[in-house]
Amino acid sequence: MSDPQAQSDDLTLVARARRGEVQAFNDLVLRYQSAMYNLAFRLLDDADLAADATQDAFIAAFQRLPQFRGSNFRAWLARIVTNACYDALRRRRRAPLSLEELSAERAEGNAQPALVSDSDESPEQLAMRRALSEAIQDCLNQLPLSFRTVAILSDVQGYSYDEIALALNLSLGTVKSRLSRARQKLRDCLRAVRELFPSAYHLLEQEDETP
Amino acid sequence: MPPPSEEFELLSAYLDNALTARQRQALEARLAASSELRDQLDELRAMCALLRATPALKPPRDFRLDPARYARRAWWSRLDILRLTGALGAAAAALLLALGILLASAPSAPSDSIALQATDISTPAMTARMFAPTPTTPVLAVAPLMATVAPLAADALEPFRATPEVAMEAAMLMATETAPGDASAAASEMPDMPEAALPPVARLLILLGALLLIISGVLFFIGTFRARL
Repeated sequence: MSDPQAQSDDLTLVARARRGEVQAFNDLVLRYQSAMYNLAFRLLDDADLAADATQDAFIAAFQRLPQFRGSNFRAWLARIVTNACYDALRRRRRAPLSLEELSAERAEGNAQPALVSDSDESPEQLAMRRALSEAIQDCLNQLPLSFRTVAILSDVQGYSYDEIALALNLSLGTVKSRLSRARQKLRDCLRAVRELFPSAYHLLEQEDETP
Repeated sequence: MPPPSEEFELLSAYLDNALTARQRQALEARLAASSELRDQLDELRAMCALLRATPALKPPRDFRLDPARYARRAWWSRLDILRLTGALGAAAAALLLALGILLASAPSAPSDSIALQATDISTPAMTARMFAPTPTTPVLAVAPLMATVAPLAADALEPFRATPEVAMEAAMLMATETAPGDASAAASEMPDMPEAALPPVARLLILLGALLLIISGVLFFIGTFRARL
């Protein structure tokens, strides 16, 4: 996933952004905002909190750009987003929602944001993917935060062990064992999903056959 | 046969190609022997594929930064200008300090020597020659600077309010040079002048130099510090 061409393009943009070119930084934002918002949402399961955390993270990244060392901008950014999400969770724990707010959230259907979708996708397919998205989220929510983070980075977003170790400041061994334990828990939860969404698996198997 | 959680970790790492060659060979041998283990691996592989296919959510808004609001960082990142200003300021400060020290040391305590100078006609003429060009130029150059600095350091500059008198005396000293005959008259007037009229110029120069040195130092420090930030 950390394709060398993308990485060197990133570094060119980083160098320009460091010289104060907001436009160059905004090119990086365009490149990563979807991935970073998805990371934040999967961690927080809250559309508004995720949007705020993502925005905070991009502002923080711009301000801390001179501190960026190394060559993996994506992992560095993921670290900032993850920390922004942890901050949001801490704040939420300190000021829990009132019952009214909670029921209001429920009434909104605990809305997940719209899915990215092709124009040729049928309404049924879209509904199925939407249900799948929510089912996966439910399973992720059951994981302890540190396992959830590793599972999202690795299995949802495709980060390598090295990148995760970099982003979360963990040793490779810790990444490996946390990911294994997260997958073990996810497997048990997703077995039910598999029964609910045989077509999702079926879809995947078809995709696998066509390279 | 390792315990189940260890076994699972091996399968998990195997999928990510994160096993050592030896671990991989050992696991592959056991996979070949056990259909149960193969099923476990297949299930894990399918689950990872499912997670990888987690539907992507559309970001609810654009997170790009407003250039008008964040462009001012451009100023911070042009650190070399800060550091250059700091370095030039320090050089100017050194010049001012050197000039001030020269002025302070060269007259060899003029306030004490005024009486002596009055007895020797050649001395005031000599001191005049020495100082006539210097005090006038620095005083002229320093006056506007002082005007700008004054509000900032009104107290500090209190002793230097005598500058007009300094200029006066400088003019008078020049007069003594052009008309050496009146030197004794001029010299006899000297004790009436405010005491130590020249050292304040030197002190002013030194103070300004020190001030400029501090400002330059701060600028240079900010420049360097921001670069590391």
